Amino acid sequence: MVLVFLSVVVYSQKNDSVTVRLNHYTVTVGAGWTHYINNLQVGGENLQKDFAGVSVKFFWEPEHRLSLGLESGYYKLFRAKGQLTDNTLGQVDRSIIPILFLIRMRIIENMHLGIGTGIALITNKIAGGGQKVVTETLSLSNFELSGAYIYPLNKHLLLGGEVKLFHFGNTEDTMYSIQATCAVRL
Amino acid sequence: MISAFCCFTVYIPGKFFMKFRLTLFHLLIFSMLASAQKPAPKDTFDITSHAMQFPHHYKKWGFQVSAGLSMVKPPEDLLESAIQAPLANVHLTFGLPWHLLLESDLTTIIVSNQLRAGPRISFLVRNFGIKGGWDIAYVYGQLKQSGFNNSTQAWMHYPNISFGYKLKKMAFTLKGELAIVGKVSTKSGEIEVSRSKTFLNGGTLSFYVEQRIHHNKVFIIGLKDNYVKFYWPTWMLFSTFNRFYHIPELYISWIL
Amino acid sequence: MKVRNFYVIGLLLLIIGCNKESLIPVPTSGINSFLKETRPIPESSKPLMEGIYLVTTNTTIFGDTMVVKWNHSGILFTCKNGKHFIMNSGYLDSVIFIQGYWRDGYSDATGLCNMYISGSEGGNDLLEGKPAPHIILRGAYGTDNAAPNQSLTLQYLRPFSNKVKESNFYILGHRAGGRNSDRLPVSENSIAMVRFTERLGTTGIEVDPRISSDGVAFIYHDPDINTRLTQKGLLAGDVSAYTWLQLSSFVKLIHGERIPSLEEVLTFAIDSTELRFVYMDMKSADAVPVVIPIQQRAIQHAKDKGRDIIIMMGIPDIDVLNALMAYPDYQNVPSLCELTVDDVRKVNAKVWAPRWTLGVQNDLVQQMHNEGRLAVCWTIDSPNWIRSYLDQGIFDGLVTNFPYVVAYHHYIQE
Repeated sequence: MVLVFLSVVVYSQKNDSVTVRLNHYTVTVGAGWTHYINNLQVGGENLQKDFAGVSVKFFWEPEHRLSLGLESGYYKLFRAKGQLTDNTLGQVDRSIIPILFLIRMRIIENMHLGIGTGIALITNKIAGGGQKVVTETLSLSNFELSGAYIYPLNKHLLLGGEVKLFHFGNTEDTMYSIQATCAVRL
Repeated sequence: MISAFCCFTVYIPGKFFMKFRLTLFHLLIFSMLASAQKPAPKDTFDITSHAMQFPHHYKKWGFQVSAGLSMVKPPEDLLESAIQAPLANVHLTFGLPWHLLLESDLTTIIVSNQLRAGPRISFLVRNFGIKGGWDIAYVYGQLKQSGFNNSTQAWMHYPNISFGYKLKKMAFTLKGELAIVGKVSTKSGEIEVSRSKTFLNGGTLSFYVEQRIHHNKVFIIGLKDNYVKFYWPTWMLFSTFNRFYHIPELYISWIL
Repeated sequence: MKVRNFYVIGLLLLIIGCNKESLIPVPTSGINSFLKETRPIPESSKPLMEGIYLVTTNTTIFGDTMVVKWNHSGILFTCKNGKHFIMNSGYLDSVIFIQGYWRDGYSDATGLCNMYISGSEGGNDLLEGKPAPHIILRGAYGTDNAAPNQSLTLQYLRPFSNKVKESNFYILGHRAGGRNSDRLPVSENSIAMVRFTERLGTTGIEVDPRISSDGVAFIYHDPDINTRLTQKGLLAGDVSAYTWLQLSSFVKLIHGERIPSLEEVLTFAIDSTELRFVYMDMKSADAVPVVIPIQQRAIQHAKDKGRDIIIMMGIPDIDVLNALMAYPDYQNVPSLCELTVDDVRKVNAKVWAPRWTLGVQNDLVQQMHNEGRLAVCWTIDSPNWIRSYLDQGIFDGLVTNFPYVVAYHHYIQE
């Protein structure tokens, strides 16, 4: 991975413009498909793992390759419905709101790789086995890896797509998301 | 400019019209020539003299300071929970003659602190750098838990070596070091809970990328894997385990 | 799992750095176990085998002495450095066979072990119920699942001292025997752990009661459902927010067991073990009025069965103390107080349980003894401190994650 990364960067260095880019901020919204990587050891059969997810990011984009930002969003991780165990019918939903600090680097023109870490609020809802229960857990160990292509339509508007991989440590949940994004450069 | 010129092609009687058109034409040509005399500013930045982790010929008697954070994920065996914690970090280099330098590092999580310092020797050949050294570190921690004054002190050694490769504006460094505990003593109240003598604690492997973030200020992103038994930020957990753990860190720092 | 997911997860390895240490498998002798062909050791022979043995081979690994002690489930060999052997035994003709595995409580080292006592080296005498002063255990141990190939010989030195035989010392297994991070083959706070714990040398257990949202008392240490204690499942968050049916149906502990109710644990401890002490470390004040009737039923059940076992409600903080004192006739509720000796007297606790880092506090412990109360301290894990507390302290018991270490230092006393 490092060799690929270095190769891409070396290639991009040769074509890098000498023009200094301006210092600015962007707000990005994204929406798309999320897929939960099912590693449940109990109750993982018949799991619905594909949902829509939304994200919002605020970035400081200085004039060079690196950007720093904050990201949040809402993602449904999974739903289990019907025969949850041999003896129990019901429905379980788990969703997540991450709040992550992101570092993003422009690798070649319009393409970025990012890494993030932060907190996440995990909501678990169950109906079945006695009563409806909603619990919220704050996860303090979370990571994101992302790759994005962002094309500037004009000075202020950018469109693109992003692939993201998340891991939430408290519940050991992992998911990925492919989103279309729209960014406004302030 | 051409549109402006065309707009001025209005009816002006006789010889005055010709004279006016010529003047505008000259003004147009002159402006174009004048602007052609101002080339785009050239970016002369070279990461070599701005980097800290990357091995190079550090400026003699020159200081460099960086400040940042490490996000670390201690083992769940010790914490009994999945938590990552931020360690604040200040890193300093001081260049000396003959390819030598001193490096110092203060890392703290308030209740646990490590101050390390040591000499290095560093060489740069074309785009490749190599740096080696030996740090000595002092660890001190204090925490009041459930009415008890707990504290720890430790001396540690970190022989280390770094390999680097640079591009014009970016540098990459791979650093490996051993972690040797010279002495560690942990107390709870008046009782010395544990004391250990010299042992090989394990090692760390780190990868850093240094590049500009804003103007010519350099930002460092690093990934570090600590493969150790005694991890000094977690002394207050009073672990009795005799096991190695992989403890990852995400390191970010801003060279001031 | 789809192949693409493997690639995706592979990307995470560098960043996440898998700290979820793999569970250490218990080595098994499998189908070749020769104990299946043997007969059980007579009860009269067991105490004659117990005692202190000299280790004559591989002393660098196991030390120079070992304690051999029978328990309800098998036989334990334990060393002073945390290594111990969990063994089963049987005899054929005049030879006593002992087979099982060893492990290091402080690291992940483990392996198989086969031993025997030949007829002429004590086997005959032991099986006839006679003292055998020249017992020699011969055999071998190995690493992981490899066949034992390293020589191990133990030579009987002496029996337990009268001081040890007459003592009523309690070796209390924390979380019923040890934590999940101690890499035991059973989950903490489970029926399986209560069944297994005596093999580690415990004579009592500490458990962690909580209550479900519909008022059922169960044992579980952490406040939330997490992957440290449970297999990854459908539930997450506050464990006490769920009904008992939900917890029973959806949650499996890390080794596959169910979360046990407190009533199940107490009944099992009384009916199926020889444990003599249960310390219920109350995790919430709300659980107090629910747990007291369960405790009373269990005490009555033990009395009916003639079992010598004390079952104490633990008071770890002021909230639980106040909740207990709000209960009618609280002074007759058998309790164990972790707070000050004045709090012990206020609530008429039967046991005082200070944290071990306060020191041996012999003067206060003696006061408790003078008042007819017991004193145990918690949770002490370092071998040096365990030895120190047994040598210099006068506690009636120790709570520990390493009961085999406490067992060694207790039984070796002269």
